[in-house]
Amino acid sequence: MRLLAAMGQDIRFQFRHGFYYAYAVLTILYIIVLRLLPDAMVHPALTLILFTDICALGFFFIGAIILLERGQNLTQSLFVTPLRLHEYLLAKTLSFLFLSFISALLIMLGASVGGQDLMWFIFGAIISALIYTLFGLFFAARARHVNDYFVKALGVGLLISLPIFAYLRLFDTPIFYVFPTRATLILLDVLGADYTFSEKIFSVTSLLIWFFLLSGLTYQRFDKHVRHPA
Amino acid sequence: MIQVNDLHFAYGSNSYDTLKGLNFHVDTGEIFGFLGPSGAGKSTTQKILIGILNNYSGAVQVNGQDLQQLNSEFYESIGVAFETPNLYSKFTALENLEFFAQFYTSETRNPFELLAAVGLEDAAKTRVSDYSKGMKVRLNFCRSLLNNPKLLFLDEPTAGLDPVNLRKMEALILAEKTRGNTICITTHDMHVADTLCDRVAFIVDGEVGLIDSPRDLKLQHGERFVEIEYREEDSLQTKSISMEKLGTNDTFQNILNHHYIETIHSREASLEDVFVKTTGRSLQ
Repeated sequence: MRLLAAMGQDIRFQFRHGFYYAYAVLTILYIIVLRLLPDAMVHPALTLILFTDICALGFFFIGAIILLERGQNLTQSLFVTPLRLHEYLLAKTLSFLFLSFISALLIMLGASVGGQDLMWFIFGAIISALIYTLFGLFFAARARHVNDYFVKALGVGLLISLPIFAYLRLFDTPIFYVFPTRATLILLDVLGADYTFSEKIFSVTSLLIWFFLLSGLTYQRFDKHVRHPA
Repeated sequence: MIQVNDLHFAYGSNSYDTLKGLNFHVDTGEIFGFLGPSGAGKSTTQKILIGILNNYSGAVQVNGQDLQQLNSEFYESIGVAFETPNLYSKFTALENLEFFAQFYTSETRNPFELLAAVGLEDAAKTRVSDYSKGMKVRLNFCRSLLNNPKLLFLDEPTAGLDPVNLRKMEALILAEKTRGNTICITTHDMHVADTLCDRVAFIVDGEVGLIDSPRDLKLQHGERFVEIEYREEDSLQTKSISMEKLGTNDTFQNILNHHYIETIHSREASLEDVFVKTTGRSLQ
């Protein structure tokens, strides 16, 4: 009940602060771009667009949401109610997943793609959206203002996006397999390219490890710096 | 209701303690005030009592239970109004209250009735961003009452209120006391402490100076005197004379017998006077 209440409020909060409008505009723009591209380029472009939409935007926008909340002094008032910290964090990640997943689904429908690896793709999209939202929450927990957050987020965002070079076949190294982005790009790309079963299993395992690792770290960081700041 | 022993607390990497061994208790059903200047440690004490700051040393018990052992159930029975109103600015007052009410398992108060009690019924469907500071303070107070709290923490509950709403707020706080609830008020407003509190603790530099009822503090530490304005050779003079043995005070008798009296008032020391006298600090 508390989780549903918090989630509902987060969705309304995102709506009233214009996040749904921003996503709607971007989703339409992405669909237009995909429609204008030649057929051979649709799949690679779709992968990169979904990566941007699900991962990069989530990463930046969730930080903005936390800082907007902090600007209105809301976190303290929430933590003197029976709302638990894990419910607060779940509400944030699930409400943002809802937004980015709808956007991704609309882009896919707009680009008219599908295929037999759809389940791998859906799993990759969902777990990636959760992971990059957790990344954003992790860095927003200690950010004092928007500029502070965006400087940190931009640095980390660029660093973890390095496997894009491998995807574009410009540069590759085994170290990229440690990055969650490598696994994300594989699973978002499965509808348009051939990947072995072991590559797909590796990607799922990697993203699950990152998800559990970031969940624990984000919880600890919020508990120390947001719920019990001192 | 609350028992605090030897409470110490330091912020972050500070080498000094913000709280330096506080000892006090709050009885069930009383209004207890923390009175002191800004930065004295009042809000820090309150943040510890409501579980926001937890890396303190010393013993803090609420209803006989160690505060460190309490879980989220604790928040079912307390209400908190912070000094800085913390509300969803793009939501109406009613939406704010209805949202927070969903977190409690026990029956909550009717949000609209709470708004009406503080005179905000006509602004119930107005976004908080369009509220004045005083309106936000009143809405903040409403939110703290949503869950019928047995223990209420109010940080500067009258800051920014006009005289009419100030009196209304005082009456509402006293009404909570008559319901049998315990209330902790943090304030640097001497009038609020004097009017509302059964007992006050003077806090300066993280230490408790005195704890007693405002009346007893004024009686024990205050000085009663008479302030008299009179004419002397066409100029207005003012004198303050102690009320001790006033009938035999030569100065007082001389003024009465030989001068034209314009005003004469008995005055007691205010709580602020007692605070300044006993702590050597002002409340500002």
